[in-house]
Amino acid sequence: MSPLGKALMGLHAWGGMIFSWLLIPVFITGSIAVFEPEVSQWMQPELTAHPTRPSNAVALAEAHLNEHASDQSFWRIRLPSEREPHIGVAWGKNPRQLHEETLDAVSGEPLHERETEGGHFFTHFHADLLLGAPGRWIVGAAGIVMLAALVSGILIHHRFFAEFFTLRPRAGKRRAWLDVHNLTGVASLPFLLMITYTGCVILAETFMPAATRALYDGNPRANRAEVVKSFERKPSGVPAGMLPLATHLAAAEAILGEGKVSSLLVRHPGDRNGLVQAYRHVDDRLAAVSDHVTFDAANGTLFGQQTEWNPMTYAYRAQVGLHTAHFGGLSLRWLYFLSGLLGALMMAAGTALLLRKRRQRAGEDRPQRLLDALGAASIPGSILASLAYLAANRLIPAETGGRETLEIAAFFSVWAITLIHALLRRRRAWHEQFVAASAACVLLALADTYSGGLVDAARRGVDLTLLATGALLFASSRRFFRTGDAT
Amino acid sequence: MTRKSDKNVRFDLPLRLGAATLGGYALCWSLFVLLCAWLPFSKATVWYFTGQLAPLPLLGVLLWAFAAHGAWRALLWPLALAAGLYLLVLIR
Repeated sequence: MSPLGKALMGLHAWGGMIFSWLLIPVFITGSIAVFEPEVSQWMQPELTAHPTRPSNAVALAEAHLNEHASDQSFWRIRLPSEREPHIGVAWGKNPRQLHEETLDAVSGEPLHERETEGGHFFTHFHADLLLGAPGRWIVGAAGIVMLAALVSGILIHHRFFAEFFTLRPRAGKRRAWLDVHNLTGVASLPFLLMITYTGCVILAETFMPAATRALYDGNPRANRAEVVKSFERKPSGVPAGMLPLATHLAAAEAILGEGKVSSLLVRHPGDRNGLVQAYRHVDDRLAAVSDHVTFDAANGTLFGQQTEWNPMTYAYRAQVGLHTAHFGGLSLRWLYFLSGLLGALMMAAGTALLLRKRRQRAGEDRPQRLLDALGAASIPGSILASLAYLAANRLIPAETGGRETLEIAAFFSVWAITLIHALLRRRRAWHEQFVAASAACVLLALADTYSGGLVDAARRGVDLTLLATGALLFASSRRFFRTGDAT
Repeated sequence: MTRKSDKNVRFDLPLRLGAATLGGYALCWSLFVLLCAWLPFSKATVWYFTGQLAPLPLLGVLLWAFAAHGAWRALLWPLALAAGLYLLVLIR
């Protein structure tokens, strides 16, 4: 070990473990968030999946909006895509608070899906723990510590290319944990550096507002307003007919590319000054920027367009795109999903290693029991909490009012229960929670499969993933956490 | 680069934690203010440039805080550097 690595050992081990209690749940939910639309589809069995043409979808949405929202100032239409194969419509007076509905892509009928945060809950928890700005400070701090733990880890395990080819699961427990820690850490190192750095860049907008203060008097939206062109005008008060939205869509596709329009925003429908703005998909480019064009709603003349970006903005948004992984398709999403879970496993193995080392020195003293319990709550506990969220989705009747809050309550209550359980059951808790999580995975997958999950590709994918996760959790509970000699 | 010699210093850990948090934040803040004042590009370009750098000063000072020889040294260097950068802004 290099002298620098030795000096940083305390930061690596203790900083890593303390922040892993938060980072492991953040990595697990972040990995699930890669499949946010698929999880939402799983959580809303009412949603249908029919292939359709964008122009048909737009005509259906327009008919629905004309019928229910002809007096509103804003309409928004999300076109069906491969991952979200239904129409999203929204309307209201304030573009930030629109009433939303989902329509079948072929019949245009409202789907009346159950109220749920769906897969978005995982994204939301991952980004700010549902705490808003304070949560982004906390996750941001954890991200910086994670970066420091990665860099110090490289200095500590500087022979890591040799260690990469070393896994001795039958060797002593300590050696086996160290091998798991090193192998997963090295295998996912480039991914972990990238995902943690880009995550910190995204959160820095909140926790490091120095440039916003210096350049824009602290106004957090001013930087975006400067680079995203806005084409708007006041309503005239004079009514006027609009060209069919399908005509505007065709004109937009001529500029943005065929099949590349993701959504339409109509400002002041039915007014002489009405505008139709079309946004381009972000799923075929690294940078998360959406080109857009705006037409006069009444006569279809081009009102404005933006297909070019400030190069520095583009570079920044490429970091955002690298983090959110909307580019690159299905295989890249799986790679992100697995790499994120490898990262969580790497942290879990590091935590197990430190807990074991401390126990050999200090025995089962009171701090040791607390550290053990926090480790259990963060590793199998956060998996159980996520599964409880999915289970609540099936157990709470679809028509219950406020059910989305109940689902989230299920997540946090089960998480709290895993901590109490771990404090009471001590080291046996690890094994028990891993077995419970693996049973929950299998039960959820089977329950969904036998209640119609087979018909839908997204639900099938979630069910198979749950089954595989259940098998892996069970196998690792047997190998690493057998009752009595956990960690 | 080893910390053995200063294990006896009182408040070794709190000082290093202070260096990592306050020192890192102060250094990053003053560096960004300096870049905003000095870089000859449009406001948006500078904003999106600094945004991409944000983790670096924080990471650097966090590692320094625990690698530095002596806890007071760990704390005072980033603070002094931050103050120096801020002075450069004021001079201009």
